[in-house]
Amino acid sequence: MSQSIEKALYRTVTSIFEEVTFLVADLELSEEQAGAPPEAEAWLSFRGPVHGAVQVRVCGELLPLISTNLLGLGDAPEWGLQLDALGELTNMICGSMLPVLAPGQDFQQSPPQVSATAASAALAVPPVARARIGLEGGRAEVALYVQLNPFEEAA
Amino acid sequence: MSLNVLLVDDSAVMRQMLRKTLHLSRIPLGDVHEASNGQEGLEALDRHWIDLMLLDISMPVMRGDEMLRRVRDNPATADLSVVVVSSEPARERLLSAADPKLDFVQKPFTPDQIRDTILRLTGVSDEPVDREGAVPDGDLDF
Repeated sequence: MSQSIEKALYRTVTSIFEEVTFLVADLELSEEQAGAPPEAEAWLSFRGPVHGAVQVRVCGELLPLISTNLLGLGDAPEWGLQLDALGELTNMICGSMLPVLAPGQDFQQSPPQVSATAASAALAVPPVARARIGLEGGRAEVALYVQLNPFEEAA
Repeated sequence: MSLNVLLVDDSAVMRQMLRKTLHLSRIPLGDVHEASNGQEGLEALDRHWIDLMLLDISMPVMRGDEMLRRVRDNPATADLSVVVVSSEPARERLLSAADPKLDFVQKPFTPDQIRDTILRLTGVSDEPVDREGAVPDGDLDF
């Protein structure tokens, strides 16, 4: 089950970044992308037939480009809106994955929590699925936790 | 007929995207108001005449489904046209009440999805009014 969820996560993450931010995902990361420093991260929890959490981390100064493309602007918006954009992407990724976990069922999602520190402690519990894609000179990393919300338990 | 619209979403980015989508949609717009949670949304409905509300679900302070329940319980707003625009897979739960003034668009959405849903729900036209003796917008040819 984990392999199919991971494949679905990759498909979801890739398509959402491409459709919403117009950034084409690289499945094989370059050295630059792999080494890009953390920039910000967002997480939210969900509950329904199953519960869990989704975490999205971006690395490599992607947020100005993500938010500019998402809003169709000429220049990057202020930092608060850039973080907001990350939260919205996290919302969409989670919302698109939930039907994979339980087709046709309703879920509730929490509002996203967004942090610029991108330094969440290494979590002791592994996610059910991870996706890591290269975007421009950076990368996005997404983790899906099921039957577990390590962010609330860690708080 | 111009629509006065209320956008209720905790994300300023999403409110900007929806505002832009509305302006590009050729739907006749009046005033567009914003609120960042359900409580602010209810206060905005008290202060302004609103014809259409675009409503997120997952918000702090007051969720969109709670706001929707209160909107429908209030005789003054019971018939308000509402499009729920949410990333939550909540279509079954929200549309199970067969509310003729309610529809649902899941994020991420295309501008066409928003426009078509609004047109269907409100019955307004996005075609320019062909006033006698007037040239419809866009038909000027130099």
